[in-house]
Amino acid sequence: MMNTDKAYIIGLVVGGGSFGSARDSFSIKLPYKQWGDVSKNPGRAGEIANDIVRAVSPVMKSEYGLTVTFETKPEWRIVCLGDLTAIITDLKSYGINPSVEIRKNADISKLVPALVDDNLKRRFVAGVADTIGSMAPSQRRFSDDVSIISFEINGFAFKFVSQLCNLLYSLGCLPDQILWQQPNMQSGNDAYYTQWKKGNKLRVTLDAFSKFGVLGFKSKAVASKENRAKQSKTNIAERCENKTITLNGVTAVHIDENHRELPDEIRGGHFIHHKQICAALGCPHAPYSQLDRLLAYAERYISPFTVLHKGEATEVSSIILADPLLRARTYTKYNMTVAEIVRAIENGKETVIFNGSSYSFSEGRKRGYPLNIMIDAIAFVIASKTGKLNGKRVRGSRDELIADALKNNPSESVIVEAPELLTPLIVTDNKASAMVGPLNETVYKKLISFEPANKYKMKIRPITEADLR
Amino acid sequence: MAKRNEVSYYPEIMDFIKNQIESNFKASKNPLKVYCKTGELKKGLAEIISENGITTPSIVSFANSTPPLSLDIFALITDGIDYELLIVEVKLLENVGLAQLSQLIGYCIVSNAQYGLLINVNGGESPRLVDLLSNEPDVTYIRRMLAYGSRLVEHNLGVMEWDSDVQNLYYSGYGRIQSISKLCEMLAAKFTP
Repeated sequence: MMNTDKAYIIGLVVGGGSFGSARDSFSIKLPYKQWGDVSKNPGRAGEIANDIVRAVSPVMKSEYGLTVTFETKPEWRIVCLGDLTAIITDLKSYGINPSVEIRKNADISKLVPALVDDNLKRRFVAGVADTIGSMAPSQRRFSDDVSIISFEINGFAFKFVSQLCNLLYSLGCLPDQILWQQPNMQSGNDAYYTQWKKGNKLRVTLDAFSKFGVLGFKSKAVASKENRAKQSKTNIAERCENKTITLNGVTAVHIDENHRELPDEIRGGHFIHHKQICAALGCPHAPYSQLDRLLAYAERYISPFTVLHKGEATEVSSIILADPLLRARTYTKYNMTVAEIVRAIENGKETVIFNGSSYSFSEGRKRGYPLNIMIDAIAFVIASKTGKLNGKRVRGSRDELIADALKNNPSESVIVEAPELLTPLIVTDNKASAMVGPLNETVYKKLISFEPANKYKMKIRPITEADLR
Repeated sequence: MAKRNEVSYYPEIMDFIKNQIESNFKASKNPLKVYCKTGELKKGLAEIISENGITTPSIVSFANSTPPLSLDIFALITDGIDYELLIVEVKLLENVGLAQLSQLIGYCIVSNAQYGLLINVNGGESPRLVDLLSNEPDVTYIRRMLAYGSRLVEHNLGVMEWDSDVQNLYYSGYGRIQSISKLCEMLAAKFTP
């Protein structure tokens, strides 16, 4: 039978539970590697240890007769020892499989009906928050003024993220945003970026979370107070239904959109906003009318090509060679000065079109290579020459880097290899290269369809040479 | 910020305990009612009866016969026929010891309350009390034969900590009542025919 203490324990287990083959122990992983580092922050580490002893140990003992201990290396984990029969039976009765990493495949659809009132729901959420609710300083929206608690959910448990979000919603605790682990969302520009599996993040402002108010760990409650104290204002959460969706650019069709671990509702779909994923998953709170408005003109926000891909010249060449459509193109070399592109942008131009031996800038965004992305590509190539890269990112401000380059050499130029059809061009110095994909609304419109059974799952068919001629 | 006194914590502790007990009864589909008050028992019982239109003879009779007793928090739990009384003794001390537990035992004996919680705000238990509770389980599970009517009364006691920062009750792990959920199980069993 569910009770308030079991709800908290099950929250901990769903958040961090890990069951192996041992019949007499399981652990609850606490992803506190940085936040609770014993050598860097011994005070907080002591508080976490105290929390385990005060908040977890007595309830584990009284509910399941389990003894609790903990480890701090290689990672924080609560170790529960004893006969696991009762807790495994309870978990299974709520449809939760006691696996190696429960939250990766958690489904709480059978559990939620057992949380018969708000208090039980809060106790469950407290357990989840104590394990995977991150309040690290990096969890902010832009500045200290919006502190966040972020539920960090690794893996492809889209359903669990959605269920947890709805549970919070039912308590009047409106989430700030969900950052989905889906390739378009994690790598909207780069169609070839493979490191997009960064976990799902369900983010709630600390003001919203504190108002509805549950945490079991004092270390977390103190961190919440400290973070909120940095804010100069109270953040009022807005209902998702009423949120305004703004799109800043185009999302590229990604090579992993069909990733086998993505759920059926998402796999094979192309998404231009996190809320579109919420809608495709059937969330009752998604801003459907706004999505309908945007998807009606989806050709403005999608690209069948990469928007921008940066790499070594050899790597970019291999991408082109591996793609029949790109390989079959005739590329013409242009020597473009950085100054003329900057000047074009200053004069309100947004795109450039190459035409045999010449090129022209245009104010429209319907067709052509976007100048803003061209500048990103140029900055990458310049930074690679001057050692100003962090990985593939330009160190510091892109605009300052371009301005410095022009100051040092007003006639700074780059080689642009542009194809005869509107497929990606290449900005290169023959060591570093960047591919820039074109905008082409009229053609892209033909590629778009929506799954009949799920109109928020947009599909983009591969573009062909015939489409471009 | 001004330092808070003990009394200022009564409402939040009372609300928390009431919510937990009610949730547990709801989860177990148990239609028990919980009424909580702070302050004097006799007057508080009269208020509960009047505010909720309670006519249950056993409760009315108890309210009439119980002596005045100044309590921090108490809860009346009823199925509409019978009732149980929970007394909560709140302290704001670095550590609570035998003196505070004895006070709770005294209140339970005088009122025949079968359930009692000693709750220390932002503090723990003295090492002596921990020793006592660890080695003498009977200290928190007292069975008393009433002089009149030969009725056996049990007193089940627990010791817990209220953390005002977290707004949460931490269980000491000592005593007969190990947790609020266990308290609810005990209460539910009392009302089971």
